[in-house]
Amino acid sequence: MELQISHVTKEFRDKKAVDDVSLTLTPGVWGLLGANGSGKTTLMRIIAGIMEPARGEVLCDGIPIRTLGERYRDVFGYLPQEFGFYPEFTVKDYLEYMAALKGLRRQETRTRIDILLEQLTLLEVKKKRIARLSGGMKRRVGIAQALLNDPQVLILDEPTSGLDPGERVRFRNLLSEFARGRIVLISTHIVPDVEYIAARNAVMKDGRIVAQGTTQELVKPVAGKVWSCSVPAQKLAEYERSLRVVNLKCGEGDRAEIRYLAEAEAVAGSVPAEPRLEDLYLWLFPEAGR
Amino acid sequence: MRLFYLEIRRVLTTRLTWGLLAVSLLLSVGMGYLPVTFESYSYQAEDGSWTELKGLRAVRHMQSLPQASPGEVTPQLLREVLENCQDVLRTYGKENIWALPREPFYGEDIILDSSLLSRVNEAAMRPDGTASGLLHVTGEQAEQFYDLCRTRLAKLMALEQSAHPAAGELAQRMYEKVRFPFFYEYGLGSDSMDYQTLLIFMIAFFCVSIAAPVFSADYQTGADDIQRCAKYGRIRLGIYKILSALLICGTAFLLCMGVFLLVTDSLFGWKGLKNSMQVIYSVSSLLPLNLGGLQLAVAAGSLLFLLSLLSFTLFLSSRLKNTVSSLAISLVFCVLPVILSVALPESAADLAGCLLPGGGIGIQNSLLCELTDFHFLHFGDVSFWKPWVMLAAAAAEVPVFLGLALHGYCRRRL
Repeated sequence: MELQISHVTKEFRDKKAVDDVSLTLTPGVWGLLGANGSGKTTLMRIIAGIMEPARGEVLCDGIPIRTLGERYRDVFGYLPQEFGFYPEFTVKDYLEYMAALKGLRRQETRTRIDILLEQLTLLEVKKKRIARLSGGMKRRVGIAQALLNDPQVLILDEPTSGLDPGERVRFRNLLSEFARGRIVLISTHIVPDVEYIAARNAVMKDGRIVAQGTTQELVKPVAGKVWSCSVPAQKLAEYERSLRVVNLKCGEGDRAEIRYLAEAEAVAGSVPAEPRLEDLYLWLFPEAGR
Repeated sequence: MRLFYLEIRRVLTTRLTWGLLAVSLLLSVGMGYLPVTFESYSYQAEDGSWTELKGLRAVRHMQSLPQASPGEVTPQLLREVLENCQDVLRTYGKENIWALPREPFYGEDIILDSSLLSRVNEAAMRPDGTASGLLHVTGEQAEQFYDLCRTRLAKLMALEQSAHPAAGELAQRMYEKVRFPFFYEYGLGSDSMDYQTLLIFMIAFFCVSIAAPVFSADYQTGADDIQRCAKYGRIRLGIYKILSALLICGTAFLLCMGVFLLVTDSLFGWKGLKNSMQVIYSVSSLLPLNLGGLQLAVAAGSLLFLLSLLSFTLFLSSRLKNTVSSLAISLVFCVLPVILSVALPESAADLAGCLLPGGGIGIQNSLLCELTDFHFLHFGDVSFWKPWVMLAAAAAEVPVFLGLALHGYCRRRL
């Protein structure tokens, strides 16, 4: 299966939220990175078919998703950034409702719900109203509904926001396993989530795809530009102002370890560090590190 | 069908829905009982003291009086009733029965005949259309009651529709189907019918409140984003959402009507259902219905108006992004026919009543008022009785607004 985003543009008044984006998604986990307002959510909504592009189209195996209609939605799963639900529904009621919407048969519904409740550790709260669940649990219910129909194309917008570290790990593992032979597109600002599981990534900036490829390919532009060094703790504020600090760790005593981005060594005694996706993110979006 | 069932269950589990349905049901019982509380009757005991009965006790007592069940309204009966009433009026020096003392008075049983007396007075009106007054109606006129009824309609049409002879001809054709002699027993009257109308208006208000969030709440919460991506999340869900709203509201309406009619009819006595509407409203009323038939006609017609109002509400809901605006605008349209019926000149109000969804739900503009009145709409030389036009317009609006609602939902793109 192949999902082709072809010259898609979407404007809101005078602002181009998505600007002539072309991208071909193949099976595997794809990470969609970008700062807030870079157009990720708009692009995902267009792929989901709930937003109409001003120009361009999205094709699934060469056929426009609009033409495919129900057939596309039958193999599609989506979790939007804002998970809307009916407050009076319990977890089980909601999943049953969504299963019926996705055209699952009754027996299949029971089986899928049981599996997902267990995988997403929601079994204990299945009879609780969604409105009374914590943010992380609500998010997991959202993920469960997206996975109900065992989709071939899964689009998740900020799926890990609100999840605690343990839940994020479980979710990443679940997704890695699930993604075999399917297209999974995850948008997130939590870069390590994508770094662990995404086979390929696309980076959006100002509505455009500015880079795409594997993590190794993507980080090439920042290779040799990531440094780490130890600095006096009392001078940290000064370094933060003058350098693009990716990470800092205050150790014992009056020293601190910093990781920074620079074309060349900016602090005496710095050593080159292995570039990571987060470094690229901050290289492309310097305002995100401020 | 499973999705349809789940959608109905979903709507029914919302607090707003079951809360409003419970209130509607309680109101149906309450409003069915309320007209009974207006009844009162005084009688003199053997020791000469006067006793006043109120509410259900008064109804039961009056039902037990032989005079309360005349049955067929024969000319001879009307003459007796008239002469009896004239004796009482002369005793107290009054012109009509409503001017009689509020304290217990001699011959109070004529209260039971008040409907018949009003109709005799109406049938014997002067040539200028004003009532003669009961003291001036002769026994001979009472005996010619049914002839006077027929000429009364002709006079009324000549007065009100002089520029539209087609309306007069239509009225005469309709009146030919009215059954004579009329039937009357003490019991069910216009108060119960008025309360049925009021209840319909309140249920319509509640049903609009249930239907207004059907689509817009999903847009507002974002639930729509997820549903729209599901296999059956567009046309099928749109249809089921519409059908479930109509089914829930329609069933609630029928249930409430059933409860109301059961309460009010059983309290006032089932025999009253046979009363000719011409005895209760006007000798010239155009429909060949008794009160039971009129109750059902009002309920059935109002259900059609309710469906048209709900269709329009669903259309608004499919177009508006948030529940508050959807609910507010829908409720405005719910009360608009009532406001316009008071605020606009008659011809404009007639038109508004026909064109607005739910135009026959209200107080002055209610279907009951129209069915008992003589409003005609004229298109060139052709005249139509207004209730028929209103019902036809409502029947046409239902599929139009439902189609637009479905289109609005399915085609919604951001």
